[in-house]
Amino acid sequence: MQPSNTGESTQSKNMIVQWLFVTLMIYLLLVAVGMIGSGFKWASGGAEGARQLFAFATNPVMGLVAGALATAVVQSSSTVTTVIVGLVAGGLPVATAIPMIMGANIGTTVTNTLVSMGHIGKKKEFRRAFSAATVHDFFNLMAVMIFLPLEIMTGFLASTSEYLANFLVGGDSLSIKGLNFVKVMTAPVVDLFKGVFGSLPDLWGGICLALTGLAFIFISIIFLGKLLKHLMVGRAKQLLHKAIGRGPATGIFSGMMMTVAVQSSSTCTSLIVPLAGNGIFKLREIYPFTLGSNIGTTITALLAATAVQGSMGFFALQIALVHLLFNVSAVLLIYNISFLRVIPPTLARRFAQVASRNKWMVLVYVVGVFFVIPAILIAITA
Amino acid sequence: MTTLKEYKVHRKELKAQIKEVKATLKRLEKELEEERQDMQHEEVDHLDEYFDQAEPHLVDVKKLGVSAIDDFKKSVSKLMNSITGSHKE
Repeated sequence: MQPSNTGESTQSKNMIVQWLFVTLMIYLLLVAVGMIGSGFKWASGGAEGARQLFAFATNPVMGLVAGALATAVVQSSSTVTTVIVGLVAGGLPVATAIPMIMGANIGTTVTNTLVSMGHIGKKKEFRRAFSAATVHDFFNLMAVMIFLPLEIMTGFLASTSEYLANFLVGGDSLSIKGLNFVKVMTAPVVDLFKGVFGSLPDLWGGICLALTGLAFIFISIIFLGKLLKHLMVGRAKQLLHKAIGRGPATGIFSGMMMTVAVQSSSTCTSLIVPLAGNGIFKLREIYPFTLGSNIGTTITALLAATAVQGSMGFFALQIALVHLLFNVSAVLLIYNISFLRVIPPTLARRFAQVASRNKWMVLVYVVGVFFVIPAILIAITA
Repeated sequence: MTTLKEYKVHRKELKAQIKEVKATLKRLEKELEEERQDMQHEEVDHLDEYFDQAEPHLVDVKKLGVSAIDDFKKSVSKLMNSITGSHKE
């Protein structure tokens, strides 16, 4: 019995070490957001400078495209939304950042589409996997097509998030009640790096601080993803077991919880692609799970917003709430109205049928929608 | 000649058969669904293996490129054939 006990204790020690690393990575993420906010503010010289720097993105389509392209390139919406929270903390106006957040939703869908390429050798398998991947694309594109014009016309996301942020923050200090300790914990490290780059001119000091923050975000999200994938696989199994054979609401809930657990919507939506490819899971079961993932991924931006100090903390929280509200509203509206609900799976199925016969269409779709069109639009505006 | 009575009896028999077949189909569908759900549980037990597959691989993109070029050539050749009116034997 001795070796088994030793094995168990080693395993539990490993678990403790891994959870400590998770805590460290979350801390690094929070520090990174603070650094991006401070660096951006420092480099741009405040809100007015930030507004001028992101003048190109005042056109909502440009903001949308920039968010989509950045997410498609780094293949992580969590990274992009966290950076956006940091930029808002540094003075980027919330109104400019809203289309960027929507764009991140579109860009993140490229990962599972690329994962579906793993089935390209088998026509039927590919058709199922590709439709499971593109249902996410079509849903997110549809959500943007509905909510971006609505936001431009009414500003409902900005005003609702403002109301909610007001409700959540405490009084004049503009800090989230009970989460003040986050700022207290991260401020010394941010100040330390500010000191390190203090000898540089304002512009370069700010840029260096923001870039270091960006590097920290990449490191923390990559390692957090890897660690949580390993640590939460048991919990993910439990969630999926519970969701099998139940209705779409359970599917949405399990998708949301699984994404919160592994802190990556790309991982969750990509995970179900091979399961769909082998025909075990059907598109109608995968669809709600994908929507849950969209909601679950908003936790990263909310977490990031807790790290922002001072008056800009309010706006950081507001943009994080915009991300949450946008995804929740999209699910509530599109999934609850039956004629809207059927559009993404129908398009995904039909496109997969055509694409499995003409694979060049897949290549044109991936390269065109996620990279070429956004790059051309950005180049034209620039 | 079939009498009306015989016809009615035959129709009744056929309707009963249809009902039976429908019930069998429903039962088989239910069994298939249960089996599929069992399979789902089994696959979910191997979720850790799927985590490895759930990442984009460069090899797959290369495979897509090759298949896309092949399919594109076929599509172009089909288009040319339809324009010139020639058919492949």
